Amino acid sequence: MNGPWKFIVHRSAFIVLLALCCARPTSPPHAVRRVISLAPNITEIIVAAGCQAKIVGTDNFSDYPEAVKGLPKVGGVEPDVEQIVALRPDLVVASASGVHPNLRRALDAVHLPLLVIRTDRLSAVAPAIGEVGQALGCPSTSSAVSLITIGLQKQRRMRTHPPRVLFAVWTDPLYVAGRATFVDDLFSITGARNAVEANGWPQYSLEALAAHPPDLLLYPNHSVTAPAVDALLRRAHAKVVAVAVDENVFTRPGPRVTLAAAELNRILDQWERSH
Amino acid sequence: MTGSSRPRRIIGPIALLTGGLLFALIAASTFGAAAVSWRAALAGDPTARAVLFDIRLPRALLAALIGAALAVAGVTFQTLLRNPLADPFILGVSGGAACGAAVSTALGWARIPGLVSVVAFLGALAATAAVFLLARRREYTDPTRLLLSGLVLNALFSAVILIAFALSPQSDLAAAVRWMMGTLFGATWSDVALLGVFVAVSMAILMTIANDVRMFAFGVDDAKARGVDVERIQRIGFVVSSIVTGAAVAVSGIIGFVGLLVPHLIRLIWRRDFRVLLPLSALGGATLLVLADLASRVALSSSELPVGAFTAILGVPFFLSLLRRSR
Repeated sequence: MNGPWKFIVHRSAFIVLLALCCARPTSPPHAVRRVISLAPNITEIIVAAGCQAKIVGTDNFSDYPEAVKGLPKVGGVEPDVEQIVALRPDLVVASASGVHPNLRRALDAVHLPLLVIRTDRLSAVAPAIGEVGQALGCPSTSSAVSLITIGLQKQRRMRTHPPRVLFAVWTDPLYVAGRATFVDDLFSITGARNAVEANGWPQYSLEALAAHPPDLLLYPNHSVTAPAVDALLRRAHAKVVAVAVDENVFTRPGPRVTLAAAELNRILDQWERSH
Repeated sequence: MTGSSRPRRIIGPIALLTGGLLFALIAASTFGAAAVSWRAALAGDPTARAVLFDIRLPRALLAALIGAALAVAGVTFQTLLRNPLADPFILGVSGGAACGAAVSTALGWARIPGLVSVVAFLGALAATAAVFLLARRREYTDPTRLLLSGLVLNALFSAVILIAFALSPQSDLAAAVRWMMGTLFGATWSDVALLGVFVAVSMAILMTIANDVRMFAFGVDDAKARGVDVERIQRIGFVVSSIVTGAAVAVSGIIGFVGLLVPHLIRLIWRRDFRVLLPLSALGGATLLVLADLASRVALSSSELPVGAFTAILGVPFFLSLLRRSR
């Protein structure tokens, strides 16, 4: 082997060796004993799978069930990596819709595995519980998954005249839940029709609300107030039945989706009876 | 230019821009997300009446007033500071308003209707006062110091806004974003009346000092030599422009581009005399914002896009073509 080839082979061998030495497993280790959840719905999923005891910290917004309120908080949109490290977790679980783009790099640097779970649609909730439960080795994983699957199946309705429903997440300007969202999925299975045509969370036109008022307007009970909804409907001259719903149940794709669907069915049934 | 020839020279442009504004207002009240007709509204159809008279018309008129307010403030700042980059926002007026809006959102006040607007207006006024105190040097307000103070205060406001956003409840962020993006959503007749008073009074005051403001184009010393009370005129011009900007921003949030470029557009087409520039800028700003708001409403069927994007989309090609043609 002549000079340059020798150099290349040696250099390649060194790089391969270096890569092998430095390669870190990014998948969760076998026995997870300590976990940090970075989203309220992920916290609820871990609890539903039967691993509440393994949670050593959560994001600032996790507040359900009551017991997780007292756990150490590691931040909001930008979690504090130092605090995460200090809690010595074996695994960090985040939701794909709320994960900071640099979080994986930051956790890689401290050799902490990160599990990112997709939960943006209703159909993703049961698989998410399965995935989290399996990664954490939770005892009630399969029963939690079937509870959700059967629970949602039970809430499935076909309505002869599907009421048009608008879900207002903010009133000034009016932001609504559009198609291809978790809320839209809840409407689909309970036999309601989303009054919004656009996808995502668009700003909705006041005159569209005035010209084609929905049959029902739902709003999250924490961020939107009844006077704000009244003002909006007055502005649009729209006579619409407005109902406040539990914000955390209706905006967190987690184990309580069955409660959201049941509540929605109750509201829709009541509306049908009165019309 | 003599006093007798002035009216004739500006009658043409004023008539043209007034026609343009009327055309824009008719278009803006004819098209929208809801398919309703003027005929149905006049025949008494309640939905058509609600859409046309209570939603579309006040919104179109409010857009006109905000466009006029921003353009009037822009042309005044540019002339007084003799700086083509000066606009209602560079002196920290918008930054102050946005800061007020962001902080009140972080405090959870966004759920009380109207409160954020009031705080935003106060923020704009406080920012203007602060910029003036910082720029004051003995009896004289130095334009460079004024611009620098505005720049520095804007940086401070940005910092406060970022912190306020980080501390705001996630569910209330829409209210804060409303200010940063600017929107005419939910315009009411009382907004129109209130801002109408601000714009009318500001225009009247600025027209009375227009002849003196015009002298600033020759430089401050020259203006002084021609007998202009530079200090007084500067003070009146800045304060009036800031108040009218603050009122506009309090209603709609920050809508960019109008205040900066409408005066330049007018200068490129017609003339540089402030007495002519002022009313023409008002009409031009009003027309541009009415058309931009119309575009933001009808671009998608029942959802809306940020109006600030459309002021630039409509104005930039027009401006660039004029710039190319003018040597």
